[in-house]
Amino acid sequence: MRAMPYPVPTSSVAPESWTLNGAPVTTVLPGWDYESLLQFERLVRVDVLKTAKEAGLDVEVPLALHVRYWATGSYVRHSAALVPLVPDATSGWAQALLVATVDGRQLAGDLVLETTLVRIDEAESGGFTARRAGSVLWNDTVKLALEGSGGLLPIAPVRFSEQGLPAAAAWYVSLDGSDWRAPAMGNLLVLLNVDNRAVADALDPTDSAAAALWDTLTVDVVCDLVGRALDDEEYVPSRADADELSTGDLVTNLIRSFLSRPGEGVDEAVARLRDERRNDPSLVRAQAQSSLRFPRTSS
Amino acid sequence: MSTLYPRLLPAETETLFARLSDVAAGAADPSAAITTARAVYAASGGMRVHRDQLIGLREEVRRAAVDHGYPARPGVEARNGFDRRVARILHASMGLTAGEASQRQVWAYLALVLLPDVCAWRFPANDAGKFVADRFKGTDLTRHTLARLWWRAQVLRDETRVDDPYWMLEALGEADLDQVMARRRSVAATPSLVRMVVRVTAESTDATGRDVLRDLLKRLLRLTAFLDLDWLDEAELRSLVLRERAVSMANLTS
Repeated sequence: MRAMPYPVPTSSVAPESWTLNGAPVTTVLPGWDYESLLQFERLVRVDVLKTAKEAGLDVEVPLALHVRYWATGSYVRHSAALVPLVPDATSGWAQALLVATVDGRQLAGDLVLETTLVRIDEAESGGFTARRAGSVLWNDTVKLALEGSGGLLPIAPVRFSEQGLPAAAAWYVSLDGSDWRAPAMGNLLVLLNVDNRAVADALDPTDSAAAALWDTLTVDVVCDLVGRALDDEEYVPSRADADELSTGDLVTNLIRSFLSRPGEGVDEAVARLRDERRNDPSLVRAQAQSSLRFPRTSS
Repeated sequence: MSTLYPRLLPAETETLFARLSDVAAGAADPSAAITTARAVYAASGGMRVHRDQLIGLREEVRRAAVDHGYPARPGVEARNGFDRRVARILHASMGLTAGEASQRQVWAYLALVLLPDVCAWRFPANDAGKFVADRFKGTDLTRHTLARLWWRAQVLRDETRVDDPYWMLEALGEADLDQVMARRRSVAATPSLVRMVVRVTAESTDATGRDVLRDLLKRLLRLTAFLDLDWLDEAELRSLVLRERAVSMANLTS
């Protein structure tokens, strides 16, 4: 939690993990669309007496747990649940079941669910304490990748014959490489040709042979993206922004993960790879295959 | 249910933006490109927009441009008038959900395929003949020619005003609205707070309006760093904004 201009409690909130439809939530949220209404639940226990004492507040100050969410596509926040806390008379602990319904129509990018413990009344004065309504005494967030980020490759199954692309091709990596600082989401899209039999079969979740195809796609995408960046002097490795991944950041992460040598900084790796690509471009592809353990076998 | 719009492929975005200089104001009707541009749709969650709807949208926005002087280079009044009118058109007629409106490639399609001439008129090239990529590509939706207008209408739409739910689009001057909407991840992330700021500012009669608004926004920005305001009801928000505005007034007049 960030530094606040007033005292906040330590270790007085015991949250359980979020669940969705009864199952634990992971870092990815597949299988949704604009028609979805997603119901997240979690149980949170709060030691209200400890909270008040450590925050320098009167024990009668009303507190509540609030859940809000936003999608990183828009950053517009929505209130999903507000549960006033009623402490047990003996233990001083309060328990709240938080049920947050998230509207699929709002979603794009990543979904962020934030739970805050807030004061819900306003004090006229209070010195150096959380006296305003809405003062955050504790919070936590969980971020779920919805599409095209957090390891999810943005893909679109289409008919290549309708896109003016080679009719029998398997896939096509569409990239706007004119500005490596632009957000990756929206700048990269992998089209999968549903008219290609192997691809159409691989899109079936039960297809056992799909793994080999996706492994090939992964190597292709890594080499395609990194290759374009290496060929472009405008690409410079930079520190990733915490909120939004740029196309350049994505490339830098790929280089760091799959093409850097042990102990080698990313700037050194880029300089070395540019040199290697000029002299022997197949070597870069071979390095990617090696790092990605391609092709993977069942043994 | 959302209407699903074409999402221009990233490589196509780069290609069309590079060719934007060829699209002069008054260029030929790009209707043919509406269905030939390389674009994809969301897999599910709505109905794909029909070609006739796209053409209707283009005609309505283009008419707004013509009424504000297109193809002559627009002055401040023309730009502001166009923005206000098109914000209403886009939000009222496109049938977009917020999720679909967050898709950058949708806005790239609208600016580079459907309305390149109008967008190039609204944000012309500089003296060196260069267009600003953000205004066309969707890389920053707060700066995109059309996306910024849709989102402005989305945040400021007042459901309580049945006669004119978009009245807030005209309540403040362009510079003041920009001040409010630019703080996308703080003040502008809470639409109810934004609407209350606009409402309270529009109700005020003091001559120091703009300075007070700027100071008020700075104060609210500092508060949102440690206050969660997203659960407050209208009355509580109003009380907060009035209180902070009074402090801004006192500071500026002292």
